[in-house]
Amino acid sequence: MRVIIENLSKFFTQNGSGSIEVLRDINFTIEQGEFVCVVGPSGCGKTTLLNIIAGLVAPTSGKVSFEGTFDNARSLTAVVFQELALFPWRTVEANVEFGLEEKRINKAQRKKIVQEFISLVGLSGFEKNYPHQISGGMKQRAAIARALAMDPMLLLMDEPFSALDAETRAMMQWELANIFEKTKKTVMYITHYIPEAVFLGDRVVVLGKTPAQVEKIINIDLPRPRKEEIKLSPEFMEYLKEIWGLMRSGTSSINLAL
Amino acid sequence: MEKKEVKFRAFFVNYRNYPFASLLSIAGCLLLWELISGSGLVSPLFLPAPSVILKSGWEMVRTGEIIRHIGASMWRVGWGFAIGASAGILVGFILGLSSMGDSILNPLLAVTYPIPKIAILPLLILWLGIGEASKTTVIALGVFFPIAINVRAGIRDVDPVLIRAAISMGATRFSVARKAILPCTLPMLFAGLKVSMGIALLLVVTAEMVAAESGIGFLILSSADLMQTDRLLFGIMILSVLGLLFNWGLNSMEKILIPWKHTGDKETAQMNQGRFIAAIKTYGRLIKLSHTIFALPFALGAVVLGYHIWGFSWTKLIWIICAMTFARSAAMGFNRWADIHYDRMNPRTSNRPSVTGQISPRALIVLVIISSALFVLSSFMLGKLCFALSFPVLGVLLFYSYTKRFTSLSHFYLGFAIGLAPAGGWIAATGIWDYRILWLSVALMTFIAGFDILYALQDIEFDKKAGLYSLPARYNAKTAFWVSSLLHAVMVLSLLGLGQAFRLTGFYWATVALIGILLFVEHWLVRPHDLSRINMAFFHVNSAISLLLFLGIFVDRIATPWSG
Repeated sequence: MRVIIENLSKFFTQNGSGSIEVLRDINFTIEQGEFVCVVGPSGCGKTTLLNIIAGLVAPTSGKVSFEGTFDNARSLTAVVFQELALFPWRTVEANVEFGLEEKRINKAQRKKIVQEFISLVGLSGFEKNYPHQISGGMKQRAAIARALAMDPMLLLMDEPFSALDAETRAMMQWELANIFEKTKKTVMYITHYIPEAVFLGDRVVVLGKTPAQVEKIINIDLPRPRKEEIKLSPEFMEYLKEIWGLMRSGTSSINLAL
Repeated sequence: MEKKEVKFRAFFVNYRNYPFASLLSIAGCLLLWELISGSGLVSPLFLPAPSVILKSGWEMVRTGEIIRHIGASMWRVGWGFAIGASAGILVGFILGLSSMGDSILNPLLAVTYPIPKIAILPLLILWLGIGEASKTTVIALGVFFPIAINVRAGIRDVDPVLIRAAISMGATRFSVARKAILPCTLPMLFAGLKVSMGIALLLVVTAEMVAAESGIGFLILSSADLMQTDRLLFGIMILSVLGLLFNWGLNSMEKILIPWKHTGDKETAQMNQGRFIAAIKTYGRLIKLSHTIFALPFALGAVVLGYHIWGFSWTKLIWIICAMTFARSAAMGFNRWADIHYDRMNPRTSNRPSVTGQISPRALIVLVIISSALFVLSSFMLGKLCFALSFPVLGVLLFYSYTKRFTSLSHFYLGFAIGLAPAGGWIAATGIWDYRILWLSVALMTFIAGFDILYALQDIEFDKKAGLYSLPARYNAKTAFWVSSLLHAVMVLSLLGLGQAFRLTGFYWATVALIGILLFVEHWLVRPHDLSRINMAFFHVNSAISLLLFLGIFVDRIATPWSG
């Protein structure tokens, strides 16, 4: 399986006068089992890119396609949204179950899958809680379990840890790396936080300022499983410096097409 | 060098709740009203005293007149509301979900919405006749608009990310509407229902004033025509009560239907209920008003037993209930005040209003003094003997708070103190002393002492640490459990004795048998090693026992036609 992103561009029409260019000619592929991180400055269009890949926003030109063998029981994509978007009226359990209901999987089967993913993310015991009754970190886990339960060919994650405090964030990154190693999922992970991208990714796609263009795609050659200490190694620092430099010197600038 | 201290400048934005003040505000107004009307400054023709209003209100309850009016109004509101709300929800959904529907219907709504609905009533009477149909329709119209508009707004306000989330998980258009949009609109729908409820009340009263021969609006208008201000004001009071009841009902329904919204914001919910009801609830929690159900039925049972001797009078009955309630409030308030130190330390009691600071120690003392004074006053109204007895009784009740500091027999003392209630009820009702009523006092005493021991099982550890005395802490859970069972066995025997002494018949014996079974269930629910069930189930079983006993005595003594 591979995901091919070809010549993707996006303009948003502004109220009244003209339109704003958000994405310009984005090209890259995601291979089976790969963890690809997309970094870029805040507001550069990363979320728009993710929404296009998920089929939630229509691109102005270009396309996204999946190659490989398909199975109706699997979704192409599932999304962990930045705002999490857990349904407040559904318990943790029922939130995870949502996608399975839509797939018309029978109840017994659903319960089994829900249990599996809830325990995978470490939420056992909180199945019956509503989202507002659990902590921020636990909500993240619930959102991840909900996306994983869809068994997507590509898991899309949009800055899922940006609202967490530094401690919880580091812990969640580490757990996500573990889950990724256990499930061998193909993931596209969006963040503006460079150390996170280097720590989690096999490759990092660096986007410049608006309109976002691919500045460079960097292979992260750090051994897995990655431990917290790796963040202190010289290699890790080198990657940070390189990406930091790329993001600041981004060639593009705001372009209002009238 | 100078030194300047930082002062707390934001003190005036610290909003606090003074439950005591809220409680007094209505009571104070009623009292002032009563005094002004009683003083003769204002003619009772224009402003009758609250007591006069309640008296004529009671007369209307007794004759069934008021029931007929309330029934007629409620019938109209019920149908009007049901029809208007259903139509409103339906149209609201069409407006919200379909762009075409919105474009077609919105201008129609915009034109018709501002019309005061009552202006259409004459037209509706022409079309539908002067009967119920025109009134129901005008209410339905009034209810329809706010609900339709709120539902539409609710749908348009749904967080788009939730819709995207649903779609990202493969939801179809229909699924999105049902599973992502509908639940989001419920809070707005309820807001609409509450507004509409007010409108429905307004319209039913107006419509009844225009053309009706029954209903609260008719009652108010016809009373005004006859200068019966007391009846008029009673009608208005009924409207206030109905409004409060509806709001309370909708709020409770909202809490059940929208569990994800209400668990967090207790504060707002309390504001919505109104400060007065919130304050009553806080005090109710403080003095465990719900526990009245354990002892009051026993006392009223004694009153019923004395029925043949004293004949019946409502005033007497009301003073008896007042005396019981105030005695209880004084005792419970004092208990919370005396125990505040222990309540603060015990995690089980840490959410009591006296501990959380919702009610200050000073307010507690004021509550105790006022309740004690009202208890003595109620006793005075019941006769010389009661008045004389009220002082030692008050002493006995208040002293309980200290017994657990020096004896593990405190449960028996509590039983004794509460067990005075049936004897007191008997004396208040009949004015004489009769040894036979002791059977009932002993039954209540053993009942209370028995389950107080079970309650104390929860605090074994705490009592030991705090140096408080209780049977379970002094001996052990198992012993306490057996003493409790023994006490409840004595209770059943006392009830048998009571039946014998007063020559009660079949129905009473049946309830005693049921009570025996319930006590058995209670002791089966609570095991020495599993206390998790000393909770609502336990509470319900105890309430059932009390109510059953009262029912047994009442039916046997008064309602059974074949009893001599």
